Amino acid sequence: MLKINNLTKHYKGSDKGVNNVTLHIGKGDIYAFIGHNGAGKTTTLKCVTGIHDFDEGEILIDGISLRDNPLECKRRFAYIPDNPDLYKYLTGIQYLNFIADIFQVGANDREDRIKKYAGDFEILESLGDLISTYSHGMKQKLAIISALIHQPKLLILDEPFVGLDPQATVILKGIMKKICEAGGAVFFSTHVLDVAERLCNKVAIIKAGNVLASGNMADIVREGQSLEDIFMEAIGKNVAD
Amino acid sequence: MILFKHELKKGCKSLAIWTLAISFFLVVCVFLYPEMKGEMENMNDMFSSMGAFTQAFGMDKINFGTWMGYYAIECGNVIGMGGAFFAAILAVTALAKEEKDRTAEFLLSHPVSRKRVITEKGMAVLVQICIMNIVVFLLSIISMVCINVEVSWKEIFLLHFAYFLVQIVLAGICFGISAFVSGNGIGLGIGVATSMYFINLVANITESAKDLKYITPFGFADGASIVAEAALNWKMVVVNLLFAIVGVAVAYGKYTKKDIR
Repeated sequence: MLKINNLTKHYKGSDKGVNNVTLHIGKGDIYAFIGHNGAGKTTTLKCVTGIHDFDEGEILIDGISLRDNPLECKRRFAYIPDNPDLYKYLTGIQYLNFIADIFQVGANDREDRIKKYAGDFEILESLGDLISTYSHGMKQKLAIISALIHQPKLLILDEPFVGLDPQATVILKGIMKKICEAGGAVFFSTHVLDVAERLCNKVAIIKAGNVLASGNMADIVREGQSLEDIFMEAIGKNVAD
Repeated sequence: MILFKHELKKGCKSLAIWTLAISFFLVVCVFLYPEMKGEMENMNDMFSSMGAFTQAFGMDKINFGTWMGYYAIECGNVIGMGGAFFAAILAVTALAKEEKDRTAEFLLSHPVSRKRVITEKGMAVLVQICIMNIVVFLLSIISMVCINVEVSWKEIFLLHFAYFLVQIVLAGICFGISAFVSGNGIGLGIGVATSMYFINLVANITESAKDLKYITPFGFADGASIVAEAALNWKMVVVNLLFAIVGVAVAYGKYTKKDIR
């Protein structure tokens, strides 16, 4: 579903970036991408989503090269950034219709999906309000609904659980599982290692722009250990420290 | 045209405020003319003998006491400066605002090419400038009819057309700047418009700096010259429109490769 091969990206005037990142996210995978702040998670996600260009490497989404055919790739995924900065001057429903227009979702489909997801996240009543009046959590929920409106095959999320209430977190996890059961995939960055360990079948750990470990969760987290132990070990810190 | 419509919706409040403000001051200026007419005739001698000040505003070329002289200088400054600020701010924020508000991240992860974003935002800027000018022009004509003055329509049309072109040039330049800016950009837009205005004043005052008129759109939109000559300096228009075209080309070149923060 998503193949990142030898991705290298460096920012001008900064030593930050990512080096030779290679990750393969297959159909049915829920893939966690973990690392401390500034490790290169968001840079990788921004390259994958076409927000940033990259220096070297290749990104394939559903077999299509992001560099050669970015629009076709973007039709197949949805991205939710870590901070849901949406158009404040629109109402929730206007925003969802705007996104549905971009993805050319038919009137009936969009109505059904908006009703379903807005109902699940309990913001149906607030869709007529201006986004500027929404709390962080409500904006996050609206961003998630907008991401699901065209039924993407690949869901890419940057810190998706920040700001979500426990109920919404459970619903989002359920949605992630459903996408994977339907043959899609989910790729997300997180600092919540417990959730990653329980929810994901694959994981990658990144430090200073380099992937230190990646693969099946079961292979990386051996019996008697937790993802937290592995993460601390990988980044060279002793838990006791 | 989804983004184009979205931009128009987003900008309609600001467009209404700018259009109303410019129209209001213009109409007030027009309606003040019958009251001021007598005094203006007496003051023309004074205004036409104030040296650099007289030259700066072109009052050495026309009679400030006549309707056309008054309209070119008083009303011309209202439309000239007001329209310039409006166009500059509109264009300089067109691309930059998405980045400042961090909505660009969302937008560009959707299946819309950056070229399409630039094109539709640019078109929205152009349409808003056209709407503002049409409304201002119509209200200006209605006001003139109301006060029953003798109007030279060719000069009036040329004046408004020149101010429209000023806005197009400034919008083109500021649109290019917008691709480089990640913050607000409004200060930059105002700065560009103001600098261009003052460059023209300097060119008016200083004989040796006369050619500076070619690098500012206010050079060809000098109300006094237009009324005096009943024509536009097309050479200056073409040079300035080239700046606008370069600005738009720069916007495409920069924004399509830019790392959005």
